[in-house]
Amino acid sequence: MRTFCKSRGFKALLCLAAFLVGLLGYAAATRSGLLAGAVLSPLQSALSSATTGVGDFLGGLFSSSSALSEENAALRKELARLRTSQAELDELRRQNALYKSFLGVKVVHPDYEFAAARVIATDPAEGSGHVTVNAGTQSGVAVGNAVVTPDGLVGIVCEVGLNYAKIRTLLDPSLTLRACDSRTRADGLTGGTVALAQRGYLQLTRLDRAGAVAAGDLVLTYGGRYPEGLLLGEIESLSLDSDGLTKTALVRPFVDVRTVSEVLIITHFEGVTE
Amino acid sequence: MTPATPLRERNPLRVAQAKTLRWCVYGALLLLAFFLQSAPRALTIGAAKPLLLLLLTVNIALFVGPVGGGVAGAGAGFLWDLFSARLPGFNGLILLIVGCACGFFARRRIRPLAAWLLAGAALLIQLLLDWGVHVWLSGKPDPVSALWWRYLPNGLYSLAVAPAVYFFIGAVARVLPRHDSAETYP
Repeated sequence: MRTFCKSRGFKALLCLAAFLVGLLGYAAATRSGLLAGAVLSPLQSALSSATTGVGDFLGGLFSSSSALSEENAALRKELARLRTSQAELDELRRQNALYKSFLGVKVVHPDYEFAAARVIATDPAEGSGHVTVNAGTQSGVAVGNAVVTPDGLVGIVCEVGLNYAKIRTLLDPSLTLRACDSRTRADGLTGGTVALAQRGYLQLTRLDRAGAVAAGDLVLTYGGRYPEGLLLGEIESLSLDSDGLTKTALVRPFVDVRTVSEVLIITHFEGVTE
Repeated sequence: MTPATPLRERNPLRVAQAKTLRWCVYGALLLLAFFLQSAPRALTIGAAKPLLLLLLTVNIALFVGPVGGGVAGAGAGFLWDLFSARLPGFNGLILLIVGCACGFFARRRIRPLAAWLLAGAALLIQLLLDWGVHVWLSGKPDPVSALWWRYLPNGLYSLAVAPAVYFFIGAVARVLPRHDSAETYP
């Protein structure tokens, strides 16, 4: 050990460790993306499209046995269809449908400016609470931008690089957004627990006890830093908090963050406040 | 694990070539592991994903010694941090230490069970440090659930695939040209 501590290799490792500590400090101060991320982002993007396809295929293999037989029959039909069609054409059709639905969002909100992006990476330690997409400052994306699909809000950009951005999703329990009930306009804060996030749910907390919020109501973003009226989800149940003054709603998000692959990032909207 | 028997090359050029080739292969494997670990739905069972970069660091270190292991760990951790929710350098530092520590076993005859236990210890250290810093100390809600629902499944899944990674790296090390495998300290 003593010999090792005196070796050139050990000194090199100490230099490497000092570099990593410096990197930690720099990143903590600036919250900006690294050039290496920009270099690897296109490669990761290409690989993620391949693994998403394989993941869909394997996901089918692990479904229940009764579903498997039905799926098997369906797959045979699908295979016959695929033999007669071109894979490239299918991809174009799919993208066409997706962009049409995105266009719907644009028609409803003409003031929104979007950057289209694809999910390229996830973080094992964060589950569905954190994803990386393949659009960054080059596409006008900035920290704090809202990320949506035609179904509703996905999350908020928390870090951005040249051609990638990291997003905290609705299923991150530490992401707190001001949201309101669409019917009564009663507002609260989004949040939740890891256990709920695993099941694909979040909570709307600090709702006024006297408010008329009910199960089945829609939950929307309140406005301010983020565009107003973005769909979050639907209230499934309500419970009185232990303080007896406020209520908490269990919300099922409209977007399944765990399977989402194509998103839009709202880079600008009218009425944005810093 | 039995490191490749040192076959002393007298020609320094061939030694350098062998070293370069070895690190190119290990580098490519780390890059592949990074892509697989961060790609959405790749190798996912439920919500669990194997921490391939950590397993690769441990097993590469068993063949290349503490300095090589530390360098491989720093590289693997740096890649890991690129698309994760962690600050760049966090996993780099942890894996540097893990790789360096595992590298000290490079000159010993490490059996598969011992390598598996070593991987388990490395996983425990990484997961507990990550949880401690980013969940517990950060004051995130529901720290116990995070440990139970996120960290434990990832750890168990990684532990399950650890033997496969061990035998794979062993096979790769046997195919690569041999030279003094674990570093000597000048």
